Amino acid sequence: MTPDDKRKALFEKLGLITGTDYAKKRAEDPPPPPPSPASPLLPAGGTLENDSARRLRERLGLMSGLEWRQRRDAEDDARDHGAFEVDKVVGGKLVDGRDGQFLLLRTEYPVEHLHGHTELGAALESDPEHLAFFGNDETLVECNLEKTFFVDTETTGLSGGAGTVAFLIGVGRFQDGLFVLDQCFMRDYDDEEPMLEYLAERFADCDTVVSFNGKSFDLPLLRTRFVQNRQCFRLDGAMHLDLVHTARRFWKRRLANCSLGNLEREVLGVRRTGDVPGALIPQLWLDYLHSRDSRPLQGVFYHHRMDILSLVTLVGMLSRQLRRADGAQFDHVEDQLSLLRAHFRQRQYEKVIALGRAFLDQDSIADLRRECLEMMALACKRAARFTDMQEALERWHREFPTDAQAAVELAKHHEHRTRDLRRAEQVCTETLERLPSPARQYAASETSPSHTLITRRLERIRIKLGKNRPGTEAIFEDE
Amino acid sequence: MNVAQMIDRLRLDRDFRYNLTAWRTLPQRPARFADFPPEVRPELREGLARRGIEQLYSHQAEAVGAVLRGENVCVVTPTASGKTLCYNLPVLNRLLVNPNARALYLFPTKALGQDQVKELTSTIETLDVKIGTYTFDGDTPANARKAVRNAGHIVVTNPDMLHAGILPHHTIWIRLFENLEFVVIDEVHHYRGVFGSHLANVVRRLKRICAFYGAHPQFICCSATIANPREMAEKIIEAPVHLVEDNGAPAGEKHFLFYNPPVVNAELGIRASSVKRASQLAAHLLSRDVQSIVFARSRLRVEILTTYLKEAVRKMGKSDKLVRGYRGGYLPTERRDIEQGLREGKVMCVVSTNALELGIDIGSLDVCIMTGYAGSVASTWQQAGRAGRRNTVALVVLVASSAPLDQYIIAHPEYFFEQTPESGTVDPNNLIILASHIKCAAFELPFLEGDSFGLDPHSTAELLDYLAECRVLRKVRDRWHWSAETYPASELSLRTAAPGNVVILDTTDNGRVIGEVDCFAAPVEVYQNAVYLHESRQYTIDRLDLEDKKAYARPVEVDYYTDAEMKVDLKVLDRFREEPTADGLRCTGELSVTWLPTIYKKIKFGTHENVGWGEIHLPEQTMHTTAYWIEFPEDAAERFAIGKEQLASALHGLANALRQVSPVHVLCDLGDIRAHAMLRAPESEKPTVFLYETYPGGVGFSDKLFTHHDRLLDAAIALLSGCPCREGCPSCVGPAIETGGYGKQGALTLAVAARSRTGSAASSTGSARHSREGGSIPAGSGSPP
Repeated sequence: MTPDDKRKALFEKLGLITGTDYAKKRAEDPPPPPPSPASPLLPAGGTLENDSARRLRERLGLMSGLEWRQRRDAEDDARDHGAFEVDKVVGGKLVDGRDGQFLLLRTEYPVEHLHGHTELGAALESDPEHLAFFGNDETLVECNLEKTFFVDTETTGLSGGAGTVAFLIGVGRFQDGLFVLDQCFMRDYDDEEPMLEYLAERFADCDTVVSFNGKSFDLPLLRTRFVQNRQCFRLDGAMHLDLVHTARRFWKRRLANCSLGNLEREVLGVRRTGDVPGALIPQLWLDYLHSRDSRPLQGVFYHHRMDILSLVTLVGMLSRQLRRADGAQFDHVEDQLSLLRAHFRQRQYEKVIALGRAFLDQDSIADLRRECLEMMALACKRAARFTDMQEALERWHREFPTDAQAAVELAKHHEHRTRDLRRAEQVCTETLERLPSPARQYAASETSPSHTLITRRLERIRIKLGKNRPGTEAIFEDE
Repeated sequence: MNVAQMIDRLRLDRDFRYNLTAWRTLPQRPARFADFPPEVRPELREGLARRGIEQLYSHQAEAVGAVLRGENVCVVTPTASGKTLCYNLPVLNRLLVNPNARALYLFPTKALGQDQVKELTSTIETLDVKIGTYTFDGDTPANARKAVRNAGHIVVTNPDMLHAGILPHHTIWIRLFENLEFVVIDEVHHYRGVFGSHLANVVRRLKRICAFYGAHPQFICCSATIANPREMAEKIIEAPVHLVEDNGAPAGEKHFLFYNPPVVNAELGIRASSVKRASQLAAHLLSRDVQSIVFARSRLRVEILTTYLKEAVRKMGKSDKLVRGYRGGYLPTERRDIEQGLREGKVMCVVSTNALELGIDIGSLDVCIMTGYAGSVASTWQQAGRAGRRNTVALVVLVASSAPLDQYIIAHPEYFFEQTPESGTVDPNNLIILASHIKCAAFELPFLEGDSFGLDPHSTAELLDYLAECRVLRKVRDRWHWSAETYPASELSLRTAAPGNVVILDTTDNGRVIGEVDCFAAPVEVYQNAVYLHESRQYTIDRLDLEDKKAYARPVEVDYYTDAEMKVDLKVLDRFREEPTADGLRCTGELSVTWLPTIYKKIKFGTHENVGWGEIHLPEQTMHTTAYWIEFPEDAAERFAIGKEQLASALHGLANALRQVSPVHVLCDLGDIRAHAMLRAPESEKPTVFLYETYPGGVGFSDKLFTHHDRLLDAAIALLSGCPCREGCPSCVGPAIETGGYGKQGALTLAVAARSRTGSAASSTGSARHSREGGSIPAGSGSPP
């Protein structure tokens, strides 16, 4: 049963007639008697036509039934004449392929264009080494920003697989002092082939892709589309900076949600107006295929453009932060610590130590300080800077006197490196004394993890000291 | 004690022999060998020789030769006859010539696939080449999947994974599909009914994808012995196959015994428990150190038997580790451990469901005991094949339960031994199944005008247009594209026929699942206030939630059981075929079935008094399906001298009996078919017995039943006349209480009358003892040699 049939059946069941039928019927029937002023009620099925009603409608912004019908008919007419086709509504031009056409909407932005707090051109100034750093990918040092493509797709579904289509593919790049953004759009399934032909040609010039979640979503999907259309997919050989991983590394600590939308609000300072929620986009396109009314798609094109501009400014903004003098590169302490962690992950221990010192010089939340101290101590160890390591460990132990890990690490340092077993023992016993009694917190049979950790270390040290007393009870008896 | 001595001892055991209905001795069969086909590469032959394989059995050589000639092959051989070599040899041979070639192996279960990889890897190790063999299934870790896709020469998987995990992502499997030369489908007999109909469609999709990448793989199928292996294989792969069924593997002498536990209550037709008898026999074997396998039909029975036997060995003062259970639901490592234990002789007795019926390598055992008939001739031979080494004597004992099918088989051993096994049925063009797969196929690749998928191009186009109207597909120019947000393969399961099962939860035991019934049966078995019997415990159902598919039960102790009355309405929508019988018609066609449970009766145990009743408030359910039915003349009551009052119970009895014996000729499960009798069927207004399929649209069972009409009726006649009860019992027409006193006799009369004209001469005397052309042997007559 088609929707039309259903509607008809429903109309019949409820005894309704369609507007056109009604208009016909009314034209045939004698006009209903004018409503008596005594009865303010609407005549059945009609519109109240008198001065006060007209005034009321005007004030409320309502239409009369007749006006509404006229407008609807005009709209149907316009639709039939293709007035709501995408090139009329959204703009762009039709591009010919070997066998068919697709719609290309090109938007050119000057590099000074501000997207949120950052201008697009900031990305162009970024140092490839910085890209390699925040992409956590050495190969990116080779990347050429003039040949870097910012890519995003809108698709008919998120599940992937051969039947999911990318109906809107956006490719942006810097060209002749401008940021040129091409939005390639399928007006129907047969537009795909010419669209991919065009893109294949364009991708020939690409050496790096920047995307948001493109490694696991957009690129595999594009690849599938190219394979299915038996065309060569050139992006396979390109380098790839996937900002979703970067974003998680840098902002996960501060923002629970690292979606592009949230990053725009929290990091880039972008405010969208007239956007459509991403989850609705597949259905909007599928609906458009049948209605041929592309007006609801305006929001989709806007959403898609904004996504790509955010990719550009995210790159620009990150590399600008990295270019600033060491120290307070990020405004938020959480982000500073994330930066530290990123350096640590890439084994840049000297950098970690330097940044860590700066970090500790400012006030910050205890949890973050603790994390920083731990990372610094470990960085010093890896860099074989043992004096600095002892300094970091002692500071950690001093600032967090009940922290078992700090105590144990410091004890280990004295045990293995300075060979000062007394000091090691002292660190442990002091810390144990400071810990709340296990009996209070835990059932008698259990003991707190901190206790276990330290007593185990203590036992080792005491064996070495030659004054081991077996069992943990012995230690508690002392107190 | 060895098996031969054991058999001699049984031969002298009078009590044991008294309950036997058959003792057959299958003679020893020598091996027949053949040379390697000349195309087999020397390094492969050397490798095999290193594993002790110097020569091929004749069937292996024939199969390998046919594959090397480029034919599709279907190999039919019993358990443990070296069928894996039939496909591994040509595949490896090809890989030695062309290292880019790829092969895809399909096994019905993950365990079989993993087994196969082990076997292959050890063969490959002798070859000194790099051939990647990997399983790809639900257990494959995400980080290993990429390696399988790129480097797997042989990818071992199951139909479900191919359907939902590989085909919809074919673009990342490009290496496999571009170079796919062989597709191996093992255990083809397993793919019958709904599962097989799905698989045939998955194969259609696979071929479509291969064609897209320019590959045209050869198919190698393996099947256990069934009546129509060629038909099954050809229906599934939709191409002609070269059938190899001349088994050249050797076998030792085998004794096959049919044991019927003695009747303990003649009135109700109740026999001694088959589980008890089987466990006594197995315990006896254990005490004599004879290695055995015990098959049981349900997981529950496996557990019960295992418990009995473990207790028994402990009493003998031995370790209970000698006895192990084996069934689905055990962890893979546990299973591997048991399999190895069997091969090494550390496990002396394994109790298994049909999980061990498939080709998992456990070596060969001395004795096989089947607790209850396996449900089909084919499975019974499969299970029996577990016993018997190449040159020693083996013993197989079938212990019958009191189920009607068991009783029919046990009373008619000649049926089992002489009959060809059942024929498998698949209907890939069941509209519901076909349409679901067309959706999946459209998702994978757009359809082009002129394409065909199971149907001719015109009908395919019609179906595609219909899907386009539903806005699932969209036609642009000459192509239909998938046009929805969903992923169709994830919405379609290949195995479940019904829309799922209703689980029964014990609310007093933390919602423990005590059992399940299919959605079809739930309204008549687990309605509110029903008494549900499980493991001889009584539960009452507090609530049935059909939406969440849950029934909430709690244990009770009452002296009655409940019996629901269901109002079933059948409407014949279409007649596909009809043929006259002696006095009426037999037909197949499409039905609309509506069922509505109305009331339940409380019936007292022992006296069968009706002690109360209640109403059932559940919604009506409707389904369209195919059916096979027998129409009797309007004056049947007079014509057959049954009596008007008794006609209803006679029809009811016949319906029950027919349903019970239908798995004898069609490889289906009892749950796949339902029976219904009507005194006056709508439209024709004649007394009619319907057998209809439980899968919406049907999967071809009705058609098979229609074809086997006479044989089906003969089986029903034999069942009824062979049953020792007086007025009907659960082993034939159903309890007398349900069918009324005349049910059994009347059903017999009707069954004879319903035979088709040609065969009716044999039965025209009205004597129901004339059952099969060969003449039936009365129960208990099969005597030991």
